[in-house]
Parts: sequence; structure tokens; C-alpha cells
Amino acid sequence: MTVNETTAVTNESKTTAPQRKGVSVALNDVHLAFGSNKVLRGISFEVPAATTACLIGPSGSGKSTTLRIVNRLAEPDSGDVLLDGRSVLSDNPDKLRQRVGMVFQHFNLFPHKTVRENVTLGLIKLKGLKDEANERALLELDRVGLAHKADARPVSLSGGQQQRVAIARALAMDPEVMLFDEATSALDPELVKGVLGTITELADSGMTLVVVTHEMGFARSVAEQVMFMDEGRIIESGQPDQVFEDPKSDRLRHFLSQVL
Amino acid sequence: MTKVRRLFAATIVLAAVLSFVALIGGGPAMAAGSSGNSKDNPYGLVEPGVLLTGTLTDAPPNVYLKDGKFTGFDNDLLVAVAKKLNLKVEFVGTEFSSLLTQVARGKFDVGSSSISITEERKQTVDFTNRYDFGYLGLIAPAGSPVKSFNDLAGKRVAVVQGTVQDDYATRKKLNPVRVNDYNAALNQLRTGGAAAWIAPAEIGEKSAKESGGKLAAVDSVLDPGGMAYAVAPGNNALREALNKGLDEVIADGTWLKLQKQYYPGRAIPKEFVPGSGKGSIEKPTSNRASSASGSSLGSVWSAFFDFNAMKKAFPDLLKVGLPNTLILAVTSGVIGTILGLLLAVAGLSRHRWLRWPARVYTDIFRGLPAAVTILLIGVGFAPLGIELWGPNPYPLGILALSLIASAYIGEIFRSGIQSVDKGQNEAARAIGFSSGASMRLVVIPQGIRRVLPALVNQFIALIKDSSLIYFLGLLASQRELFRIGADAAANSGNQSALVLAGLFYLAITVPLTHYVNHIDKRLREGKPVKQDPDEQAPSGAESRGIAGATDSETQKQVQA
Repeated sequence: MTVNETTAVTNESKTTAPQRKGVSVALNDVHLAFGSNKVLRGISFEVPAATTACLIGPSGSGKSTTLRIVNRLAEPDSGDVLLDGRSVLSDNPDKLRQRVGMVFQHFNLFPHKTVRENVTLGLIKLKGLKDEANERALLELDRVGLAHKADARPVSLSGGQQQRVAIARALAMDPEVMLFDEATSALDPELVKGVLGTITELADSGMTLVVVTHEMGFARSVAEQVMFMDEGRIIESGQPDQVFEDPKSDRLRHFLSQVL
Repeated sequence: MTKVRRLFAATIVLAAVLSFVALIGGGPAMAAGSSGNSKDNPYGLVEPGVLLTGTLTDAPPNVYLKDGKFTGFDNDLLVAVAKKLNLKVEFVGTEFSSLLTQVARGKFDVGSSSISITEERKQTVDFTNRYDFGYLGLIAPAGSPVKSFNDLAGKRVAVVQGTVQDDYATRKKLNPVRVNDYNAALNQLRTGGAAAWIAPAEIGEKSAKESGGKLAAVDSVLDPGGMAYAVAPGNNALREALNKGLDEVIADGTWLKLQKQYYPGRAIPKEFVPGSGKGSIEKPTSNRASSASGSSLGSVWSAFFDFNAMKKAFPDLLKVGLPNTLILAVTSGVIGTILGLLLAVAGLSRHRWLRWPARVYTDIFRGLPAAVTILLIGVGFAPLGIELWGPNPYPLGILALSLIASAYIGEIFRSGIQSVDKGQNEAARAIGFSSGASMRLVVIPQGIRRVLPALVNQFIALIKDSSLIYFLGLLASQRELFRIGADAAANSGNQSALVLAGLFYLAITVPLTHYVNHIDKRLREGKPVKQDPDEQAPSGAESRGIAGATDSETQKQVQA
């Protein structure tokens, strides 16, 4: 199975890796509270175009919320969100989300639609494409090695395959930034590798990635930047080597001792 | 499993039929039959010494309830007759449509309600000698072009179903709108549902007088049959005793006294002779007696499963009743589903001014009995309905049924939509869909799939509720299954047609129920899909997002 999953990505892709046009993402002193619960307490970072940043940290530290601030599934109480150097808080959030793809822990494929329809839905209804939607869907499905599953229902796919379809669905919209929210956490261990392979390929294609993950090995080998969050703040950030080899804070040291 | 279920279903059906039999009056009939005409109880009464009498409460001056006492010409006369026989009379108020059946089944000893003698009724009960005559009155709105019984061709004419007026309208091939009681008939006139009302002359004239000039009694004819008390078929002892008592109260002047008391100024037509006076005696139909005095179980059987009666009712049930029931149920089902979906979306809205009206609407239409809603809408909006669609009660009936259905369906949809995983909406929003588009394209389609079984159950309820539309008064061609069965049962005094109507309902609802179970099963287990050889078992649990985020996070920490 593991072999299948990985070879699927590397061998079955008939098309060459595309060049994608990622843009920079930045958060500037973002605060967010749900009632008295202060979830984010001044988050600032910048992810340069075509690079990958990983958010790590314990549960409840605000990683996922930070990610959702970027595509405004959560609206900040204060602070700013910048894409390509420009604030997007006054943009139409629906339009913004077409520029920012997102992949979820539980895939969230639409079970009442086929794999192909999952990918074409946004292209048809939001971009007004018809025949081209189908072509583009097949292309993206092919890039994740699942073109042959185009007419299957999501439930008949393994978790790893479903997550790769979810990635294809997001990429079909031609986003400028991709967000991954614990994309491999719900997968059986033997399926993780295939999905990580897909994400790695994407990172190499020129896309800007913000990845919430517990896969420290992945963060270390793929990310240009690793940010450690705890209690709504970014405690430490830097290049992977620096963060993993030479943690400055007790909290990061403690966290790493738990997960490594 | 299915065998067990089938057996269970069969048991339930059997139990339902049996309790139905008992309810309609199978029990008393058996009691009367078995006690027989013994010495203590020479007339085979339900209770020795007491003449248990079924009558109506609302048909003055013939029979009515006044100051908590049953009175009226017929009832006072019956008390006098019973006195001659040393019997006490105990009155029970009932509906005319079921009176004859109840007398035939032995629930009552006597039926007293100005019952006109007709050939059809003689198939059900035996009649005493006649004690009264009656005119059929024609009541029409003031200024109506209907001036006489000859003006009725092609007009909608209200009659209380199963009465001699109904008989008359049917014989004359008029267009009768059969209603349940006199009030409903008056409503038909007031709302324009019918152009005229054929009523017992006295009742019609009284109503016209009390209408403040809105209605007029325009014509009347003598009812050729005359009126008599009804007794159970074959109970010759009671019938003869009542005839004897009747002759006695005629001879001693009581009859004439009561005539003058209740019908002051009314002339007694020459051709009418009360009691056993020559040429006026109704001969008992003795052939009926033998069948009724047979085994009571057999008579119960024939009251519900008379195949001849079923055969007679079958064409109407199939060609008129079934299509009408389906039209009512399907139309209101479609409208109710659309309204229900709007209600569900409004009920889930972020805006209070959408949520609240939806809530109130749902509470009202789910809280009211279907019969109340149908009557209020059907009668209340009748003037508007006539302006829009004419006197056909279907549009308003369908509207009422749709409103009721939508309240239930709205709640079903709401629960279905709410049961869809939040991640679905989130994923749709993340792609860039607006909240409305996410609902429309992703959440609602899934929500509907989940509640399909509940939805079909609601549709079954609707099929059954559609029978209530008869409150609004239906032409013969507009009657649905229940009305046709009930009419046939009321006219023949035999419930078989109603049983057959019930079978028609079951023929629609039972397959539907099983179809739902089938869908439900398939939705739960998924369509049978060919497994790829290189494919592992689908990870269903993951895809439905059963594991909470925090759970899997901790799990992952361990794995990493």
C-alpha cells in the first residue's frame, strides 16, 4: 500500500511539474478572541513568495486559527493580513478564498459528488468554466496520481487518496497560496508518506505554503521557515535547523522532547 | 429478518382490523345476536326494557337536543310508542352517515331521525310503518337563478351524504356536493361552493328564515317514501311491536297532537296515511331476515368483507378515488417540500427576522390538528378561492395540506441540514463559495439525502391526511378514496367498501414504506461499489470525520 501510494505520485504523473506562482503572505499583529478566550495574541510573520512555512506547537496553541485567519474563515479582531504585500481585509472574502487554497485534516470532500465533480465544482460555478473545467480537473487529478479515480465516489477511496483529491480540488482553483491544516493527521501511518510527497512536490513547484503539521521530519526537510506557537503567540521562529537543533525557549525544548 | 418483520406487520394489520370491527359495532351485534329473543327480552334489545335509540342532536324540529334532553317530533313520538310497550327510551346522539350502520349492527335498537324510506336503505335495515311525511326543500342564495328543482342541471348542489336528498340528487343525475352535516351544507351555500342545497323542507326553511334574507327556500316536493323508524334487519318482534304501538298512539290522538305541536299550520297531504292504514304499510323484506339471523360471526364477516359490495365500489375507487388521492397527495407533497425547504433555510438563517417567522409558522401548523387547518383554510378563504379558481375545493384543500406538510417537512430538512458535518460548509467556503452557494450546492443536497426516509414517511402521512379534504364538500368526481369508501358504506350500511378503500391506501403506503427502508439501507451502507484490486478497504470512519481534532492530534504526537 505504501509503495502504491508513493509510486502513484512519482510514476503515474504523466505531466511535468507545473510552475506555480505563489505570492508572499504576511500577518501583522493579529489578535482574536472568542469571548474571553484569547486565541491569538499578536501573531506576526511573513512567508516570502514560493516558500514553505510550517506552524508547529501543542494542541490548542492557535495554529489552525492562524491558518484560518489567512483565508478569513476566521476574521481577526485587530491586525492585518497581507497577500503579495497588500492588505486583504477589505476584499470580498469569497474572492480572497479563491486565491488561497486550503486542505483540511478530514479532507472534507463532498461525498455526494464524484471525485471529478469535487474538483470541477468551483471551476464551473465560480470561474464559469465548462469543458475547460473538466480538462483542468483531470490535469490536477493526474498530478496527484488519481486521474483514474475521476468517476469514483470519495467514500470508495482510501484516506490518502481522498486527501490527494482534496489537494487537487484546491489547486484546480489556481491559488496563489496553499494552506494545509494537519493534512496527514487523520491518515493511517502507511498513507502519510504519499500525501507528504504530494505536498513536497507542490512546495518545489513555486507555490507558497503555510503548513500546520505534526510531522517534524517533513517540517525539517521541506520548510524554509518553522514557527513554534504556544498559547496564541509565536514563541520562536527561524530556519528548521535553528529551531530544531538550537531551541531557545524552555517551552519549545519541552515540546520537541515530547514529539521527537 | 424480513420474514419476522412481515409477520409482525401482518399481526399489526390483523389487530387493527379486529379493533376496527369491535369499534364499529361488531361487539354489540354479537351480543344482540347471541342473547336472542328470550322471554326476558322479547324484542332482542341491547338492554332488556330499554329502547336504545340512535338519533341526531341538530335536526330540529324532527330530532334535536334541547336543554340536555333529546326531543323533536320523532323522538317524542317514539317515547309515546315505547310507553305503550312498557319500554324506556334511551337516546344516543350520533352522525346520520353512520346511524343506519349502527342500527344494522345492533349498536342501537332503533334509529330515529326522520329516516326516509328508500330501496337502498332497505338493504341495510328494516323499517317500521311510516309515521311522518316530508318535503324536499330547495334552498338557494337570494336572487339566485335557481328557482325550482328543474333548474338544477349542471349546477353544484349540496346534500348531506347518505340522506334521501342525496338519493334524490343521485337519481335525478344532478351534480351533488356531498357534505357531512347541515352546517357544512350551509357553508357550501354561503361560500358559493354550491349553487343550491336540497334539504329536508322544514330544516331548509328554518335556515332560510334565520339567514337574514341571504338564503331563500325556493321550491319543495313531497318525499314519496315517507319516514319511519329503523330497526335491525330481521328483528321482526321489535318491528311489529313498534308498529302496534304506533297504531295505538295514532288512534289515541297523540300523533296528531305532536304533528300540530311541531309542525303548526302544516297540512297533512291526502296521500299520506300514518301507521298501518291500508295501502301504506311497508312490507318487511323477509329475505334480509334470514341472512341477519344467521351466525353473528358470519354477519360480521359480511359487513366488512362482502365481495359483492367491494366489487361494486372497486371501479369508483380505482378510477376516481385513487387518482384524486394521488393528485392531492402529490401536489401538496411537492408544494410542501418546496415550502418546507424554504422554511428550513429560514429557520437556520443568521437573521432573526427570517428565523422567527419560520419558527412561529412551524409551531402553528404543526400544533394544529390537520382537520382544523383544513376547515379554517378551506372555509375561511373560500370567497377568495372562488374568485380565483371557482367553487372547486381542491386548490384550497391542497393549500391547507401543503401548509401542514411544509411545517413538518421544514423540521425534517432542518434536522438533516444541521446533521451535515461542519467541515462540508467550511470546505465549500474555503473554495470561495458564498454562504448561500455553500448551502445550495454542498450542505442542502447532503442534508436532504439523509432525511429521505423521514421525508417519505411524511409523504405517507400526507396521503392519509388527504382524506380530510372531504370537509370542504366534494363533487362525486372529486371524491378521494376515503370519501368514496365512506359514501358506499353509508349508502349500503355495509363497511366493505371502506375496507376496500383501506386496502387501496395500504397498496400505496406499504410499498412506499418498504421502498424507503431500501433507500435508507442503501444510503447507510453505500451503493454496492466494485472494489479495485489495488484498493484497501475504504476508510469511511476517517472521511466522515469521526475522530475529533484534539484526539487525532494527541494520537499523532505519539506516532511521530
